[in-house]
Amino acid sequence: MKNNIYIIIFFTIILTGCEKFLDKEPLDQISSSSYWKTPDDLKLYVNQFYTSFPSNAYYNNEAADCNSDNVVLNVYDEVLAGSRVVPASGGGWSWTGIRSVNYFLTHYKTVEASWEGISQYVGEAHFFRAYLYFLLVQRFGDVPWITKPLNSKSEELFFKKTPRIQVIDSIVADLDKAISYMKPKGQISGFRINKQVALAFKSRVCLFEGTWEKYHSGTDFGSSGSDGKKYLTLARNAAKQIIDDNIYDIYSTGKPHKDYFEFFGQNDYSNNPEVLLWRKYDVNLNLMHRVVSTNFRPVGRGMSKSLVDSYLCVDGLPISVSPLYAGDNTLNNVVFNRDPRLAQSIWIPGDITKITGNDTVRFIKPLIDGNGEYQCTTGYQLKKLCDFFGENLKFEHNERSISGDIIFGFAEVLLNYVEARAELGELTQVDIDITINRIRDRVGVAHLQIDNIANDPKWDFPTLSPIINEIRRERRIELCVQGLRLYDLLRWRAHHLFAGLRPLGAKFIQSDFPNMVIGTNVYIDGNGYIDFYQKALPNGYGFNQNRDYLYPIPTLELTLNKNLVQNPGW
Amino acid sequence: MSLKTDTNYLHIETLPVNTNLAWIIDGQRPLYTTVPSNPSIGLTWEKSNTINFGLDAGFLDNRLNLTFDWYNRQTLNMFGPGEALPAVLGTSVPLANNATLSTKGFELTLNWRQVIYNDFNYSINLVLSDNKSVVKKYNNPTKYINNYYEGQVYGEIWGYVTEGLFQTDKEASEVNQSQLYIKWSAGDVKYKDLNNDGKITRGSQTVDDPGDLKVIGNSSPRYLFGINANANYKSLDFSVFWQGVGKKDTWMEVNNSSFWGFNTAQWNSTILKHNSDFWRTDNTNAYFPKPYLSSENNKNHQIQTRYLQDASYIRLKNIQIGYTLPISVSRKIRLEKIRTYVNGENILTFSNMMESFDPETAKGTTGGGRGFAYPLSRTYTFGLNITF
Repeated sequence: MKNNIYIIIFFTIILTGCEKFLDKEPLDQISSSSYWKTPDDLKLYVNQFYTSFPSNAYYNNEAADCNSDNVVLNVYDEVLAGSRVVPASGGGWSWTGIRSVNYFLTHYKTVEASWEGISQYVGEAHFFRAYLYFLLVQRFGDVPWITKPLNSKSEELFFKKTPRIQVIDSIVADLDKAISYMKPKGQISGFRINKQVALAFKSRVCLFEGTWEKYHSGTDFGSSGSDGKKYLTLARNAAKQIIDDNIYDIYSTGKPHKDYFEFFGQNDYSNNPEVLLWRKYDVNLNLMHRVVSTNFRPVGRGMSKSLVDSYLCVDGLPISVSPLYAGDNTLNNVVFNRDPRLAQSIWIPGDITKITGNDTVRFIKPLIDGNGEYQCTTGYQLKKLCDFFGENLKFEHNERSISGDIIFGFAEVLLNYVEARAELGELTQVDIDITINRIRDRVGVAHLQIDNIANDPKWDFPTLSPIINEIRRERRIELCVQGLRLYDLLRWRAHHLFAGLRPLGAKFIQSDFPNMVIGTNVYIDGNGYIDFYQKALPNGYGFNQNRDYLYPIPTLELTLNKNLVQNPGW
Repeated sequence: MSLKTDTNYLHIETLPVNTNLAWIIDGQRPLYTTVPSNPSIGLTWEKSNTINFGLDAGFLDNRLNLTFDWYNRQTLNMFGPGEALPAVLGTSVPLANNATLSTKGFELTLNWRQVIYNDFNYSINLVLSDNKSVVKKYNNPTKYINNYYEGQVYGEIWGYVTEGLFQTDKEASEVNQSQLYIKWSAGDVKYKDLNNDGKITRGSQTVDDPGDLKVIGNSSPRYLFGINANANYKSLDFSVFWQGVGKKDTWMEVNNSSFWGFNTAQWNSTILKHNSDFWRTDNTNAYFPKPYLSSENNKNHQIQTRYLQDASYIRLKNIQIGYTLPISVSRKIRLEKIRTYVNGENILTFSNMMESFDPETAKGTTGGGRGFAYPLSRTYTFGLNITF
C-alpha cells in the first residue's frame, strides 16, 4: 500500500512536469500571444514595410522609366513589346505583403497604451495596405479585397475579384485613416512616413484612378458609370492640402543651370524643402548603392528621342516652332537654347566627370560602342539621378554611393494638383503659377500662360486641349526617370505614343565611332537616328490595346479558384 | 518518403525578429519583426502499416542462397506539404498530416558460392530492390499536377513531348506556341500538340485538363542493383563490385546553367564544351536549341522529353586484384602475411546521361543540386598489406 502511494506520487510529479514542459514557448522567437503589448511592438512590426518602396534605380529598371517611352533599355520591355504570356504562377499576383499588414490590423488592439502612443503606427499600417493594394490594382485592375489574415479554411480564398473602383475606395479609406492617424511633418522622425506623405500618395492614387476611369471609359478596362470625377476631386483636394500647408517648396539655390541636376544626387535630404520622403544610405551602416547613370556606366540605358524632343526651348516654345531651336546634329546642338533641365538630365560633351588634383576629366561622347551595363543605347546618356558633382567629383565612389532616393517629392504633388484641376475643367492661371511656373522658375524657362499657348503640330495628344498637352509635357520632363511614366501612359490610355513604333535615339555620328558598322553593331533609321531595337523589334512595340493595359492572372490561380475571371484579352 | 523539416514550433505563431532593415531611421538600421506563418494545427506522428512476406531459402548444399522480401507499406497521416491554395492566402500552406501513401516493393538477394578445388573458390552476390509509391489520399480535388493528388505515382515528371527544333522561321510560324512565348523562330523547340487543339498549352495544369503536358518520366530511382563477385585462385584474389539503377529520369531545371549553358543573362551563364552544340545556321542538327541571353530562353527550357536525362546507369564501382606471397616465403622474413594489390574505383560507367554529368550524384533541381555536385573521382590504388 505504502509502495503504491509512492508510485502514485511519482507519476503525478512526472505527468504534471511533462505538461508544463511541453507547453513551453520558444526562447529565440516571439510568439504572437506574447507580442502586441507595447507601442514598440507595433513600431518594430511596421518597420518591415519600408522596404516596399522602390529600390534604388541602378538595379531597378522600372524605377528608371525603362518600361516606358522615356528610356530605351538594352533589353526591350515586355509590357510595351506585348510579349508577356500568361504565367503558370507568380506574375506579381503576390499577397504576402497584404497578409502582413492585415495581421497587424487584426492584432494591434491588444496593445496596452494610449491611442496617442500608437496612432502613428496604426496609421502607417493603413498607409502600407493602401500602398501595396495600389500596386496590385495598377497591375491587375480588379482584385479581391481582403482585410484579414487568411488561413487554409477561409472562404475569402475563393472570393471573386472586387471591382477596381471599390478597391480604390477602400484604398482611399485606408489613406484617410493614415492621414488622420499619422503625425504631420516635424512631429515624427523624418525617416518615417507622415501625414503629408499619405496625402501625397492619396493624390497619386486618385489622379491615377480618376484619369484611368475617364480615358478608359467605354473600354473593357473602364468601370461603367464612373467618369473619374470623384477621384479627380479627391486628388485635387489632397494635393491642395499639402500646398496650403506651406511647408514644402521647390529646392533652389538660384542657379538654374545646376539646381535641377544637383537636387537629385544629394546625400542628405533631411532639410530639403522639396522632399516628403526619401531613403537614406550610409557607408558605415553598409547600406549603399551604385551610382545610377554614371558617365562611364550608363547601365544599358539611354534617353529616348521622343523625350528629348519634348523639352521646350528656353522661350517656352516647342522645338517645332521655336526660332531658338538649333537642331539635333550634335549633343551640343540638342541642348542649345533648350529648357536647362535637358542638359541636366543627359551628359553633354564638356561636362566635368572627375577631378583628380589639378586634372579635370570631361565627358567626351556617349558609350554607344560599350557593352552590357557599359553601353548607352541611344546616344542620349542619362545624367539625372547621378551624384557626380561638387565634392563627389573628387573621390571614387561608384560602387559606394550614398546619395538618397527620393520616394515622394513636392514637384509631383504640384503636378498632380494642376493636372487634376485641368481634368476637372476648373484650371486657372493662378493654378499654373503656383505649380508649373513655380517649377519652371528653378530652371528659368518662360512661364506657361493659359491664354497664350503656342500651337505645337507635334503635340502628343492632338485630340485633347492644348493645356492638357502642356501639363502632361511638363510632368514628363520634370519627373522623368523616376518610375512614374509607364503608369502615366497607361492611365492616359496613351498607347498611340509607342505601340507599333520603335523608340529612337540621337543622330549617329560615324566619325565619333569609326569602328562601328551600321547594320552590324549599330542600327540607324532612314533619318540617321539610332534605332536600337531595329533588329529585335522589326514591327515596333507590339503593345495590344485590347489586352496589355493589365497583367494576366496566372493560370494556377484560375484553376484553384473558379470564381476568378481572367483579365480582358488574355 | 515524408517531408523532413528542422523547424520547431510549427504549431504556434511566432514572429521572426530581424536586424538591419534596409531603411535607415534616425541613424540606424532598426530591428523589425515580420508576420508569422500559419501554424500547423494538430500535428502528430505519422503511422505506417506494413505487410511483409519474406522467404529465405538455400539450394544445392547452400551454395545458392536466396532471400526475398515483398512489402506493402501504407503510410497514414503522412506529414507533408499543405494542399495547393490560392495565392491570396499570402503565405505558404502549413505542413500537415494530410496524405496517405502506399509503397509496394521488394528486395531480393541471391548468393552463389562454390569451392571448385581447394585452391579455387568464388562467390557471386546479387542484390536487387525496387519500390513504387502511390499517393492514395490527398486533399487536391482539382488534381493540380504540381502537388500530390490521388493516384499520383511518387516522383512523376510532367512535361511536353518534343518534336524537334524548328529548322525554318516558316515552320515556326505554322504552329501556335504563343502561350509559352510570343515569338518563335528557327532553332527554337517545337512541342507536340498532344490534344490536337492546334496550340501548345498547359491547360489548367490538372490531371483532367493537362493541355499538352503528360507524364514523361519519373525521378524516383527504380530497380537498384548491386553485383559483387569474389574469386580466389591459389595466391591470387579478385573482387569486383558493380552497382546501378535500372530506371530513373532527371530533369535539369530551367536555370541549371551547367546543363543549359546559356542562361537569362551573361553573368549567369557557364558555357561548357557540350553547350557549343546549339542550333545555328551552320549547326542545324544540334542538340541544344538556339540560345538567348534573356528570359526568352525559358520558352525552350520547358520540361520536355528531348532534354529529360536518363539517369539509369551501371557502374564498375570497385575492382581489386591481390596477390599474397606464399606463407613459406613470408615466414622466412618473419612476417605473418604479405599481400599486394591493385584497386580501382569508379572505373567504368555505362549511362545515357550527358557526359558532363554523373548519374549517381547529379540532381536536376533545387538549391545546390543543379548538377554542380562534385564529381566522383576515378581512383587507382596500389597497396601492400603486411601482417606481423
